[in-house]
Amino acid sequence: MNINKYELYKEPFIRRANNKFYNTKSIMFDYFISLIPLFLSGIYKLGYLKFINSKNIYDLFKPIIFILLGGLISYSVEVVYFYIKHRKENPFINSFNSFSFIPGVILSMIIPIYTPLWILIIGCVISNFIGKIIFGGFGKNIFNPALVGYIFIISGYYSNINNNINDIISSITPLNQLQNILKNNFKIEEVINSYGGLINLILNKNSISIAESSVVALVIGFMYLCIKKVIDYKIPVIYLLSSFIFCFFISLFININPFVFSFYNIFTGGLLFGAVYMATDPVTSPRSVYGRIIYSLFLGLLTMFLRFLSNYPDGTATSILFMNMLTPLIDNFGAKLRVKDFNHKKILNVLSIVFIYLLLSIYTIFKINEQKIIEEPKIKIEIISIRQDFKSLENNEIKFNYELKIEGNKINLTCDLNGNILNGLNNINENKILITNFLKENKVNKKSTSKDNHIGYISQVNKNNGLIKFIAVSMGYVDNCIIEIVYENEIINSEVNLSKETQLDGGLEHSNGSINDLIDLGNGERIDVVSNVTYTSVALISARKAVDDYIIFLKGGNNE
Amino acid sequence: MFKTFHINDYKENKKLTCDKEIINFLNPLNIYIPLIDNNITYKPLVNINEYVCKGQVIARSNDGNNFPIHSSVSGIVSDLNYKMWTNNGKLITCISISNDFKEKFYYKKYDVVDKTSFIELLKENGIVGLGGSGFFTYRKYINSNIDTLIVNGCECEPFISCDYRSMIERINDLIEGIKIIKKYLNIKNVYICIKNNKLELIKSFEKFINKDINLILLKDKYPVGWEKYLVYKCLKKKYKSYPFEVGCVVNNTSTIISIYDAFVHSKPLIERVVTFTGTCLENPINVNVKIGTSVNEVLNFLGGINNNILYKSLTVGGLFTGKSMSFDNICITKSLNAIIINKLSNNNFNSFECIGCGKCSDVCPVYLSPILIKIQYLDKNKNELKELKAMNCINCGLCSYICPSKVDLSFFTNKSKELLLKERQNEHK
Repeated sequence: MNINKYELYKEPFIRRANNKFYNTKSIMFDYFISLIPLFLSGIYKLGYLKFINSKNIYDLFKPIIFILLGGLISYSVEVVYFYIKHRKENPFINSFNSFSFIPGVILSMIIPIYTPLWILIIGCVISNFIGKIIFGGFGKNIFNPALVGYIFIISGYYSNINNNINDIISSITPLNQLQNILKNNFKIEEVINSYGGLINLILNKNSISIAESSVVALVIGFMYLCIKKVIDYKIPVIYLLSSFIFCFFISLFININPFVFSFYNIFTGGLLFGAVYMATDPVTSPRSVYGRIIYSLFLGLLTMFLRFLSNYPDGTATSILFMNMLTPLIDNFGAKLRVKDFNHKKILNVLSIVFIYLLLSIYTIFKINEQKIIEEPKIKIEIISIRQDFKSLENNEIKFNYELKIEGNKINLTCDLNGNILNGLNNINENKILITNFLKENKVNKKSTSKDNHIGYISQVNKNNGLIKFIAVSMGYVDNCIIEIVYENEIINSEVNLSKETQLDGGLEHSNGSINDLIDLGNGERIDVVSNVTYTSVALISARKAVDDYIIFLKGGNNE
Repeated sequence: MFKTFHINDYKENKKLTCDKEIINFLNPLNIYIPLIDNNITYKPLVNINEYVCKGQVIARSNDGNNFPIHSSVSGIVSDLNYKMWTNNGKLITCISISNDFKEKFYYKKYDVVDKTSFIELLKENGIVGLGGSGFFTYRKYINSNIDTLIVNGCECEPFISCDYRSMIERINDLIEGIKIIKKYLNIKNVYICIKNNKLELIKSFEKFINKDINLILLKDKYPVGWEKYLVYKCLKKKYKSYPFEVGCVVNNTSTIISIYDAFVHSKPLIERVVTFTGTCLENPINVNVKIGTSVNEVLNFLGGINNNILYKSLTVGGLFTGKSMSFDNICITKSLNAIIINKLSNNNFNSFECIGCGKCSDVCPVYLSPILIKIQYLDKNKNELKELKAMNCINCGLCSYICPSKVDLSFFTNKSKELLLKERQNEHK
């Protein structure tokens, strides 16, 4: 009986991957296809709409140029690498097989559209070289390569990027406003209204990068990936839920409407794109089921933690890189946790994760509250009038009577030249520190270009048998402008002394003429000598007014 | 709460054989009985050139059980050291007997009156599990607290349909066998488990269902025929190592049919049904063969294989759990249930890098993480393997099936299981 020979091969003998529509290449291909709706919406919003406004043909093609350039540069970097390393094989095919263009394409989608092209090229080279090649190539990298390039660009070239903005509106992103909401007490409803409402904010009428251009396109891409089973749906869902719950929890402690705050945080910035495309990168995220749940829980927590408490406007990139570092540890822990027998150790392990989560949340709440206590709510202070107290001049004291309106109440204070309160502090009910700072900012002894905020004062009086010599002073550009008056029932002599004002502002000629020749208080006739918009001329006008007030006082008028 | 997985491709392959009737091939030229089976060695009781009858005991096991093996034909013992391939992939010493085609039958009738004599009947007729395990059936019934019988008719592997055809053609014998077991072993409940897409079979079972015999329908997933899964589905109980801990026994339908043969016709286990299928065969069909027949004789009887196809592979057993062989002089033992000869395409051998998709962890029925086990096995970390519970692996092969990069995951999981078993045996010594 004849014996036939067969081919021997390693088990198993049935593989789904033998089907040519299901293997690693088709997974990566599907990943790339799901980005197409975002490409289209980015080209429409950031290319076509801008072209209509600015009529610049370069604007129309900019998104396409970004994407193609990003992919091409990262592809070429790996071509060079494969040429150097494996000289005998075809480097173009090797580079294509290791999917080198994907980090470049994703990087071009997350940086702002107004970035110069040379920065994009640097970023693509860094992301492929440092993010992928030096770890060993495809399948061996620890960090998400697109994010490595992104962090490098943002840390090194931030000012170069921001100097290129044409649009003032785009530079104040909703996330920058978040710092204002938390620390400077902007009201969140007003901020949202300035963008046209919550729905407009979600639909990204003012996005700055292709990745944030449309939420609808992102959702379509996400559903395509889930149906084709390319990514695990648990990671984005748990990530967004965790951040939502964290924001909700924190907003209860700082008196902001919880739903509005949580939705504001989720739909701004690169959180949605990062959750669907970056956190789910298969090489850098954990492989075990429980590991993924822990990973996405802590990602949500960490992103919001960095947003609230650090200087970064968007904490997504840093938090994803940090959790990528911890992937092997989480993997081991999660895999062992899943097969453990149900005993006290398993419960302890689960509780330790919950404990770390709660600890970080409580710390964040405390820190945010601390920042809020330092900034008190602003009080409305208005100055009604400032007058010098001429009676105290007899005792060689220079005092001023301030009449303020604080939150609708009239309060009288007495202060000195530099704004220090001498009398009347007990009349104040509101925050004294704020009022003291306010008075120091509005002290008498400061220069100004506006007649309304500026007064002069009498600094010296000499009385000698009915002959009164006094000096009126007012702060000019550099130092005091002085008018010396000799008075006996009427002005006998007047002299303007500008020797201290060493830098004359406005080209005023030094003149020793009569005081009435010098300044005109409202007729408009003699204004060609002294303009009244410069520091020096305003100082002279204030000093002249102080002279008039003192004369009224000397004649016995009421010092109102 | 165990996981099963729905296999979308390979659905059409059962249809190759499941609609054709079983044919007989009961006159081989020689039969070959291996002397090592399932890690148990047998001592031959006959000598060369001795005449043996069909049904005569020719070897007994070397451990304390003294389990018999019978000859399937009558003839002369020609060799005691003939080497043939068996279904664990190794060349084994066999007793070879040349057939004289007279079918001289020697049978010994055992009177069964109670449980002990029934167990003696099971042992002396050489009944083992015909689903592929080869486990001695009588040892399952020794415990005294058994009150449930689960009949496993699932046959969850693709391509195999021998159990299904035996059930359709011999359903009355199956029910009689169930009643015999029920009577002598004091069993209260019987559960028959089949898949819910076998409509013809469900109809034939309808007239036998009463308050004691229940029909459980299972979804068309893999691995539904796994013992722990069946016990959980029928009784909602979990056990640690053996089903008798929760008071039940799981038997294959073909085993029960052979028990019927042993009881009613005094016929020991000398024949079984084997599925011969695959894309290279012209006539895939189920064949009733004698134990010990060589596979290449049966293939010749079926019309040979297509020699124009260059790359073909032969698999012994199912595709998920079987072994690949290079030659087809394989002797059919009691635990071999299928021979599959498939065409190979060129791209079957390329293995790519693991991309960390995690599908292997998603799909494992016992909740393991095969990729982590592979990494720890390559470093030979025994403690880590113990904590990752590599011992729980049931060798179902789903992890390698689902991997998109064609990483050899089930191979490494099996190896790590062997490593841990060896260490456990060393500890006992």
